[in-house]
Amino acid sequence: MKHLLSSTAFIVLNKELAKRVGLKEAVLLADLISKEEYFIANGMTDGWFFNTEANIEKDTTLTAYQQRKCLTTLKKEGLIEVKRKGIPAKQYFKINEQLVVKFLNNLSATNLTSINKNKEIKIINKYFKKPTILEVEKYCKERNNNIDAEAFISFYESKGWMIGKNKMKDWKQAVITWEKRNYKKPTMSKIDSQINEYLKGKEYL
Amino acid sequence: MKPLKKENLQELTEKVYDLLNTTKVEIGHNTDGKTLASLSKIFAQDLIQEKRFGNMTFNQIEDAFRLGVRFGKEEPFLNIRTFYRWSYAHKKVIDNAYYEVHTLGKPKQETLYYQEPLKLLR
Repeated sequence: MKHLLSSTAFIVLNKELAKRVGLKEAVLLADLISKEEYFIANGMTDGWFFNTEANIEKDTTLTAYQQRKCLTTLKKEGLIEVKRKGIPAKQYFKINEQLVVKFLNNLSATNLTSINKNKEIKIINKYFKKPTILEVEKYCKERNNNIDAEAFISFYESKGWMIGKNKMKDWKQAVITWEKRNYKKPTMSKIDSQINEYLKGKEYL
Repeated sequence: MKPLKKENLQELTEKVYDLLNTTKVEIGHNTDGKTLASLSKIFAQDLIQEKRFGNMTFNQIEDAFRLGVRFGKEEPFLNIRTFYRWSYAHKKVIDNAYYEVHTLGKPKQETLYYQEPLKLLR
């Protein structure tokens, strides 16, 4: 049965969060978070994304009135920010990541049935911004690693800034990985080592 | 040019060491300097002591090594056994050249590796 439920589109609902802020609020927040992920995957960098009441209703079955009530609660808790902008005006949302994480961490601390109490939820650099050639060049120059910035950019551009199956989170770390991979121990040519040995051996004569 | 039996051990050791290093490069081995230094000491001592090589010159030993590296039938190694093999094979060539000139009467210029016997100054 569980398998059947998860085979179609679903909402990840945190039970503890639902207890604290209300079921409908938790549903709305979950829907907004999944929407935010979609926008991040499509290059959103400032954290603001839009969603319409009709769309939310379609996804969560919450009516416009219920949505407004939920949003008021969520805003009160400080979990999200809402503003209207654009022509025609659309509702823009920003999820207060830090507060949500803090909220969930606090909840897990009080939850006695939690399996892993030491696990702390952390979010590292969620918004990835593609670097420009100049930025990469500057960084490579700083690190003095002789990495070809153009090759780096075109390599990841061709892969859609993915590292394996995951989206790149920090291009600077990727540069460091390239640097380490390219690093080769200074190799001595055979004749050089032979000459060195010749000079060493001379001392024993 | 003087026969090996008259060579100074220290000078000969240094010459042999240079020769062994050239050979090492030619063969493409990576033998360490310490090993080659000890090999040269042993081989230099041998060249002076061995009666069969006593009348040869160092130039002839160099020829022996050159030919040994290039035309030797067996896989070359940097060890005394190989050095002996090359030197002894070349000694045979020299002896044959001497035989051809002095017994068969071949002209000296046409005989490869022929060398006039070294005369002792009185």
